[in-house]
Amino acid sequence: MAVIHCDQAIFTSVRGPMAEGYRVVAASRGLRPDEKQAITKLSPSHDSLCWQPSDDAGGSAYAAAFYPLPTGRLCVALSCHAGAEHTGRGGHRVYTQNVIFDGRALDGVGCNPFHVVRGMLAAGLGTPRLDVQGVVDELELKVDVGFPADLPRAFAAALRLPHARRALTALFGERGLIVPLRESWVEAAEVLLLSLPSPLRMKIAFAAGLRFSLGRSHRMYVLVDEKNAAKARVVGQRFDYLDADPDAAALSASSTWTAFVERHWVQGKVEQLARRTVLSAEDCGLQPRERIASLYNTIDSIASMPIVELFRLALRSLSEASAGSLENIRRELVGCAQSELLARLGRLPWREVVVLWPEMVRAWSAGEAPARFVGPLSVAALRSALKEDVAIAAEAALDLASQPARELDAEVRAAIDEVLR
Amino acid sequence: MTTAVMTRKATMPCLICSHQNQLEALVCATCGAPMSLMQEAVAQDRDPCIVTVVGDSNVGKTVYLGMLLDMLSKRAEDFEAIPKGAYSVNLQHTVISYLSTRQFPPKTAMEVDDWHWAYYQISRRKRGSKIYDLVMPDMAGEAIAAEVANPKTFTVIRSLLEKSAGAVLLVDGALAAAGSPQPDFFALKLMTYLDGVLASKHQQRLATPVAVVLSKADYCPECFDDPRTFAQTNLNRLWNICESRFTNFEFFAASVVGALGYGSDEYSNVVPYPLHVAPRGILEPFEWVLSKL
Repeated sequence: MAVIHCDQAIFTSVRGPMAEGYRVVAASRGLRPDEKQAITKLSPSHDSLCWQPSDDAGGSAYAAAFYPLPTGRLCVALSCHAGAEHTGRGGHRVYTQNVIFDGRALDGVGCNPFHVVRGMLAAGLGTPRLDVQGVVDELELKVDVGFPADLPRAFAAALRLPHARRALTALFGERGLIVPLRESWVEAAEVLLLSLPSPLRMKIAFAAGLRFSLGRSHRMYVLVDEKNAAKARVVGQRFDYLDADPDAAALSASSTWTAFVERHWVQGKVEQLARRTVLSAEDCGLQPRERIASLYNTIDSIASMPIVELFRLALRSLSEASAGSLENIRRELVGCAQSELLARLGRLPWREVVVLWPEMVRAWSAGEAPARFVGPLSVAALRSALKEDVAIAAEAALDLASQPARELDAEVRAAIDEVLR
Repeated sequence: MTTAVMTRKATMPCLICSHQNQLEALVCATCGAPMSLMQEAVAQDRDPCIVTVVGDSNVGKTVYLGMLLDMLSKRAEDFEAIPKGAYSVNLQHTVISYLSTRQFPPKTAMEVDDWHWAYYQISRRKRGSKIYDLVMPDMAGEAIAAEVANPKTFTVIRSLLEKSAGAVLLVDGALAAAGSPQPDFFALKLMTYLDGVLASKHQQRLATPVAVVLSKADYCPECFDDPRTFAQTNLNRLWNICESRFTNFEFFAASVVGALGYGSDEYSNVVPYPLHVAPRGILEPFEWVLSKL
């Protein structure tokens, strides 16, 4: 559970002593004038939500938006209906609760603004407070970084794979993106956003569940596009409209990153995807992120890799120099490879282990890191040999014992002694 | 001439903010104004005249403008009004349709691309009359208020006013008559904003014609007798700034609805129902602005 210190601002339409209609009706004292101006400009007003209050089938009962403010702080907005328009002119009043916080606070919640949205809902901020006007207190918003269990299912139901793939490709570009959906706007937006490296996510101002407006200047809109109104408005604009045309959707995964993300979508591993896409800023470029995706693809294929290939991969990875996120992923790969090799050596008969043994022995003299890596594997291999035949085990132990003593750690020496006894 | 501003890069400037847009764009990428305004202007081969209707939220801008356009297109007072593009008819269509079912039209959203824009060619029907190409947007009162309070919140409003040949300022006459200071203060702020936008030299008074329309005058019939005196009495701050800073201003009273009924909705909001339409004083401010252009 993370805690984010927030300013708050409520944007809605109420009659006040000095004004009426849509405006920031209440805000905490820390809200700066240019932030208030941006919130006024970007918040939804009359009839701007994608659903009617009577529509309770599918979709979310709230809309979400996220955008940077001119001061560098971030704004997460939660919009819902709040009864009828108070002037009696028909339609439903839109109520938007905004929380404003320092960008660094998002790092503590996995760079996922939707965790903040859920925190707002849990704190009751999704319930309109129409009697609040003027000054409101700042917030200590408690944010749980867990994911709703039905998020992958909702995403898969809302957005077919080829379209999701096209959306992801478009998000890496410079143009805006409109994703028309019948429902699950918020869920689809979250999974699409989490499919980007975290530093890029911060640059994607988006609205999910709000009707399209060029004036909001967001990069991504996930919405229902009744009568193709948004489609018509973006003609000649810097926007891609994710058309449901099946021919247009026939685009194969064009990059390793796309394939990596897609695999998580298909397997419903959104939480793992969210964790893996938290990267450092220098790893957001095309080449580093392709490399990262490739490493994760490799990590996920470890269980099906032949034992020798897996061992060689791990040794190769040990010798590679890397930094930042890549270094962490490389370590993860080596760790996963070691765990998998240990598991296999523990259950495989010696005749299958023996193919690896000469390479394991050579690894002892390849340097400190390979020696550290191969230590536990050697112990497991010796035990496998011991199960097969004492003489074979003794021969293997002698192979190891011939290595310089300084290389062998205590556990390995103990294993050798055990075999030789 | 507007034809001269077409560029060779398959782009077209927005009539309102001058931002270069792709030829196929329907709305301006910067200010959200329809690009058909510029296309019509190019087709007409003359610069249009922008008259901006401004006012606070819920003052009656949509109903006034919709009724005005409808009256013009019905040749009221011997005017002839030709809409340039079907989009121009949307506003009057909406207003008249709602009023005919005894409802007020829905609130205008703050989102710029949801505003109605009307482009009309207007003239008197007699031979040799001057033809005006009028562009009139129906803006959200909240957007105007936000721009006045914090300039550059809605840049389209500033651009519009900068290019306006005349303005119609709607002030809630009923509210002012009831003693509320709100209409007076809002109008004062708006006129100050207009002064800042339009003034070339702060010493000089502005010549841009501004018609101040006291809306909902059916609530306070004395408005119709003498709008100036009503304004001096009930909107004194507005009166003073007009006198100090504007050379061409006039006060008018207007109402669209003859009688109102009241009900309440499921949230206990009072809902007014227009029982019958009886437009009064709608054309006069417009005629006055035209006479000053």
